[in-house]
Amino acid sequence: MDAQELAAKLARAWRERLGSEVAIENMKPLTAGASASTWRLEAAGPHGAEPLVLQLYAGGENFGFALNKAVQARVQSAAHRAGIPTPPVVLVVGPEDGLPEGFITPWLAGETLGKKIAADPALAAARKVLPAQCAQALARIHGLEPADFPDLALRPADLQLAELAGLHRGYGQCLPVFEAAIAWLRAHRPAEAAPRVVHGDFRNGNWIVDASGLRAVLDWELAHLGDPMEDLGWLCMRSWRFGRDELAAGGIARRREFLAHYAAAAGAAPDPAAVRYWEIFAALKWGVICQWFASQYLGGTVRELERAVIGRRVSETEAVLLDLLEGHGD
Amino acid sequence: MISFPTRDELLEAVSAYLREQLLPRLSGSERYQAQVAVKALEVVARDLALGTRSDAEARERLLALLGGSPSQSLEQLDAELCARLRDGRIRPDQPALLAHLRATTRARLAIDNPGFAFACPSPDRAADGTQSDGA
Repeated sequence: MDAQELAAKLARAWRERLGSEVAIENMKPLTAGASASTWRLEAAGPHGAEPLVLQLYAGGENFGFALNKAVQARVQSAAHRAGIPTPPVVLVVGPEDGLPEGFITPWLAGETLGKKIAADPALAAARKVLPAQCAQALARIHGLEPADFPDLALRPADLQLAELAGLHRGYGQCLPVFEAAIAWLRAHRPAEAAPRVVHGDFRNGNWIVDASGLRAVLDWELAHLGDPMEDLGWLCMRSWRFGRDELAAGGIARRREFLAHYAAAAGAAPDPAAVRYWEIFAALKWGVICQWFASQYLGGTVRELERAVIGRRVSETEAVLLDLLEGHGD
Repeated sequence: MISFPTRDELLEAVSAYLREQLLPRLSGSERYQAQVAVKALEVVARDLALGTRSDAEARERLLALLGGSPSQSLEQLDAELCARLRDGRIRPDQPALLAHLRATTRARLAIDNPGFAFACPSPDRAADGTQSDGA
């Protein structure tokens, strides 16, 4: 579908759903992934042109479990209503509009590239306040009322571990480090607590950051109910540090500093053993995702060189897993 | 073996073409893809140089660890190790296992990404208690 046809269909959906006439203008593709494409656009009406972002399902396969765009829009709306810093959903579109599933949110100016958030000198002032802001945002997500999120499935550690092990073994590449990690994770599962809302992908590639710090948390497609420590473990994975290896918490804060901010905001200190469990889980998950990327190339689904090459990053995740299993921590 | 040029020299010629002639003329996503291609050829070159030896060493270690038959291939021994980890006959914290996994991972990283930090004392822990400068 070209931009012109897309714009016409969006304008019709806007009229039918929101009851006002706008012209959809200045459509610019932002990203085009295998499973979603993102556009910047403007809705021009009598009161001027409003800058917006459109996310559309692109037909490809997602890794394992992921919410479809319609459900993702409902979850993001509910989080916005509950006061989480995330953009409100302006319009949901789908097959009834002759479009793939998708939704439109306001455009927020700011940086979304993890590497720049972690290292760009222009964001040095933002990085002073980000640790506390991100810890507060995460604690508020974990404080959401699960009953307000009926779309979210309960995904405890043992279920997710069984899924990861199944995916890994399905690729037919024997990796003893992965099997050792799976065995360790089976034996050290943290005690199950009351399920909370888990964002599922809380890291510096899914934030909007400007000079004042965190403006918004994005990308709710991996949200679920479960152990909130899962978000802390995922945030502390080495892949998001972009060279700031001393800043274990997502390249923005030392681990202890971030956990202290989180404890202050949540009213309870996280159990370091549970955070470590989920850090090991995160490294295994990232490793299986690397295998999945390579499998998409090798299976002929996505003919992108990068997908094949990322299969050779599995050895990095093995190194991270071994360091964690042997208590080098990092 | 055909040696004029050798496979390594031919590989280096392709890599040099991408780096010196193609890359400077590309921009945006095409340039990025070509950079990924150069990295991939570097992995292949290191795999050709190191892969056979590191596989042989891994096989020796596995024979010692598992007590298998000397005719078993690396793939068979790896599968055997995975099976024993799955059913609990080998525990994931066993020192002999960890020593083998560490040596194997070091050898794999030497091919895939020699610059990757592995088993460094954690700067995070070393500096625990101090405040981040946040910058």
